[in-house]
Amino acid sequence: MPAPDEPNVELPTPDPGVAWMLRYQQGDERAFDQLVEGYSPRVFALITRFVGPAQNREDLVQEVFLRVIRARHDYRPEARFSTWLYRIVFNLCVNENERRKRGVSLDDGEGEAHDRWADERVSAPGAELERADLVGSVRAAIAALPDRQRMALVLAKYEELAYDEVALVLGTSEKAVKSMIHRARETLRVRLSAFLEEELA
Amino acid sequence: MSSACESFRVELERAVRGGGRALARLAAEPHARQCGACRTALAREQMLERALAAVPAPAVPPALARRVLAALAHERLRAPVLEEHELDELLESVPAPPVPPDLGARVLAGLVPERSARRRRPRWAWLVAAGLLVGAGLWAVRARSSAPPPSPLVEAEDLESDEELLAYACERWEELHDEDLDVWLASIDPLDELLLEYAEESWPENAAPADAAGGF
Repeated sequence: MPAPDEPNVELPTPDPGVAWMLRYQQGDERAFDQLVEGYSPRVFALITRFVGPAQNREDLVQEVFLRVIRARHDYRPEARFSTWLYRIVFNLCVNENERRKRGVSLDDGEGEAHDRWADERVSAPGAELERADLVGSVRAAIAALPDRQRMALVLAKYEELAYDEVALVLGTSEKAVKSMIHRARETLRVRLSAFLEEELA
Repeated sequence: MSSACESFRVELERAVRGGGRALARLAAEPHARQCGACRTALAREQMLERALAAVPAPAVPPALARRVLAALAHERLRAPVLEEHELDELLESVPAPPVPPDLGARVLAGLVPERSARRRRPRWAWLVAAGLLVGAGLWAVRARSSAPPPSPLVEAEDLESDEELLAYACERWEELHDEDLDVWLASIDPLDELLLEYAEESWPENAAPADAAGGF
């Protein structure tokens, strides 16, 4: 019986990540290769959505899999493999943000977050430019959310994790996740009101 | 807010989890068409969904996995350091070496020739050997007691007085010349006797100290 607040996640079968991890745990090095090949794009995307287009994203992906190597003996297949992996990603990303805040010393607010995406923005005329502007604004608004709200929203919206799985990643309850996402959406609606009102009109 | 609005907002909250399609389905509800406030709330959520969906997936660099694997190769090759409990488990997992059955019997069987040879020696052989040993010991003791023990050499500093030094010198002289010193002294001629007396007078103890006279 799970604890009252503990999300009860049924393990989907077959989860290739779980199978690879268990094989790797037993010493199959080829299974680790498969893990990296299968999950590194998703890890990279999640890191990018969370920390922005930082130069060291690939280093962070390496760090995630380094932690997989070091934690392999502690791994238990209690949920989807991606849930376990994303928990590593989340902890690493939070540390990375803390490190940056200490280094930058300025508030990593919306304006700076907007600028960080500048390199990846499409340069196009007319409607494309407007769309690019919307995309940039949405990214900046997401980047300005508090860490846990941001990760909860990104996991639920872009990684399509159920709320109970998001709860496992963040180490909290499903109810708390629901509240976090609600608050995140409220904040986004306020920050993106200019675009939304325009479209609504 | 009416109860119809409240239940619509609950449905709206639920539809948000389901994304754009769920919201589109909710838009078809009669309440959404009748209530302007709920319709606006739904529209705002749909706008936000579209805005979020407009953000493209981050471009993953080509050959990312290959580079990550290459970077981690060293770490994967590194021999893992065992934790204490892991080492204990490993040590305990080593089974005790199997003991061949009837080992004791076979060892005893292998020692039979040696043990039986010992048992075959007659009792008189032991008595003869013991007698020979006792005889040899007695002979050695006797030989040692008959020979004069050589007087050990003594360092001059170990002798506390001149008398001791003189006595020791006489003893050594008699040892070396194998004759009595008094007998020899009685045999020397008067001239030699005078020379000895002169030497005795010139002995440093009887002469004035050299350093007291101002040195050499």
